[in-house]
Amino acid sequence: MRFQNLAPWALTAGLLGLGGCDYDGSFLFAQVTDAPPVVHITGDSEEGHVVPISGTSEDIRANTIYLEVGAAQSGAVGGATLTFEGTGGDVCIWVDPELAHWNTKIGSQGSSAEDVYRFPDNLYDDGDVDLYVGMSVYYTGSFGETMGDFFVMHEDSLGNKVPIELVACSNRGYNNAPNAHAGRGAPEYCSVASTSPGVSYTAALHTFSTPLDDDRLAMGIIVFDGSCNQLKNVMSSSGLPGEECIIKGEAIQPAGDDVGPWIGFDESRTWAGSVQFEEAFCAPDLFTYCTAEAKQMADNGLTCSWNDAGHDGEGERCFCGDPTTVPVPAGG
Amino acid sequence: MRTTLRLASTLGLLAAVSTAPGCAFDEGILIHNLEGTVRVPVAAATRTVTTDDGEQTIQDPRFIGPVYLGLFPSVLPPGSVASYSHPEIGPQFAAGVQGDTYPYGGTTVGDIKFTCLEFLRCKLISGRFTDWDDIVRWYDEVLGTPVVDADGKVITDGDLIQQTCFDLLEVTSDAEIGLITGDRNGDGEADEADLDFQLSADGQYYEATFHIWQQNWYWDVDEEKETGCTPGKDCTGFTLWGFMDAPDGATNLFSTCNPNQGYDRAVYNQDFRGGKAYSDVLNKPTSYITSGDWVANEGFVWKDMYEQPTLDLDFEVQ
Repeated sequence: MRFQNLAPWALTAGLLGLGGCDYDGSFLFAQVTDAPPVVHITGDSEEGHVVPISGTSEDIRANTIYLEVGAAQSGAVGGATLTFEGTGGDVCIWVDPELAHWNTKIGSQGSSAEDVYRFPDNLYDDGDVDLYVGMSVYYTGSFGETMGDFFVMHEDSLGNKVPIELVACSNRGYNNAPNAHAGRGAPEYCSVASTSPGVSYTAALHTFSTPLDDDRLAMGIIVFDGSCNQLKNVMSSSGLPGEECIIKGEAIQPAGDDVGPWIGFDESRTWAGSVQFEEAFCAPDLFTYCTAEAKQMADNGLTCSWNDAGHDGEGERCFCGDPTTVPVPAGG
Repeated sequence: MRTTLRLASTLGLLAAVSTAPGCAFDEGILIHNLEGTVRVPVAAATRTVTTDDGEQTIQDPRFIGPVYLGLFPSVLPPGSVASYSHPEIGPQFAAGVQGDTYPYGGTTVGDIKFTCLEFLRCKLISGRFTDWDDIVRWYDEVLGTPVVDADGKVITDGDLIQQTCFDLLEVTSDAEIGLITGDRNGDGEADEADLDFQLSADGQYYEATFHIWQQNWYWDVDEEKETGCTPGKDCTGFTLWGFMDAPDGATNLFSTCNPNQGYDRAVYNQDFRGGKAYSDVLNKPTSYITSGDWVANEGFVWKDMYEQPTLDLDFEVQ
């Protein structure tokens, strides 16, 4: 009897204990990786800024930053941040998330140049990161704790608050729309024009999606002392054309909570074979590469199917997809 | 009986708890359809043109370009932001780039539409012509620059424009194109009574009705706290302001029209964009207001959402 009388009150207390809307939704997310969802990259300057680099392509590769971030473990967006000081000139922030992605060419129509894309991509090893850059004074996040943005509130004469996004560079998309971002696996970059000397800028790299194979998004970052066009000129003069190959080796083997950052390609834990895959993507000569990869897998008694258990070992990882999943066009 | 009562009391308690503060949130949004009248002086619809009959002064509502109306926190007098009255602007963040007006909303009277012919791009808006022949006549007889097709041949029959639109847009009615009014008022004739702008009773203005649909209401929040006024009734609300983009005297182009945007036509000898209004006309009016345009010298401060104001675009920009 006593328990029966208490039931309504216990239920009420339980409902009130939900705490209104004050929850981050973390109970909805599986803790699938040891990699932290938010990472701050501390640079070499006294204040912890990353120093913009210049020089030859070798110099730039030796100073490329590699790191991983884990999948979001709550409703809050994850990602990485870094700061740099204005130089008085342009500064380019270039980020390349793992790995490379393309749409499979299925039909028999179209140009022969598209035939290199007849092989499918491995959709499970690609992530996406969105780049935002602005003055640090406007940044709303806490480095290494929570990601933020560059919105500030303007109060108009009626006392109403208007959010204004004070990003220092904004890529344009279709119909010249601002805040465009590159897609899955594709490099994204922007030039901060005429930076103010000595002023701190923040680059916020928001995790848009993590690869399904390990729930860790690896990426390479270049902070270049100059515009992104200048960076492209420097890098393309000594290697394969194509933006994907300005940073190579950004696919990193997972290892617990060690997520970097590593400075320079030689220091990172790049997946064996991933650089060759990126070079095939840039050539572009994907069909040759993917056909050879599929043959090697077949010789080992494996396939590139996602269901194949042996995809993590040396020589057993597919960067291309499973060709048996490609539909055959009618009459083709 | 006791079980029933206990169940009822539990459900009642749950209902009460569910309405307690927590996730329940009163959005407090005031949304209303706004209506009013906008007027331009007859001088804004009067031009001296040279035709086969010599130089003539013509007064015609077809000279009235697109009218842009916006709702702003306030409007500043001439000399504050520009040589004409202008909405208040927000902070300037980049050198040489004027601050944004941050409008709450707005509308137009006359829309920049796809004109089906490259010749007419950024020269033609809705609500100014009754039928297709009206367009041909206007450009040929009044402006002295006949409409030409993609091959540069002069068009003498309005049906050709209509058929071009039907072909390009894959539509079958004038209403889907939106360029001509037809018999909009249902009096059995497609004539000037169907146009957006009508001559006022005193003959001093051309006037048109405007609607701003589903407008979020904004008001002076400090005034509300201090005086207890009621938003949408007697609190100081946003200010209505606007301007008319007059067609260029030489080219007949509208400066608010971006020729590099809009419908993309790329077939054989036709390769052009249809043109559309710039997306920040109300955000940065000074970028688009040019000599010959007409601006509201005084904005209308809206308090009562049911009020139907008359806004005069009575200042000609020099």
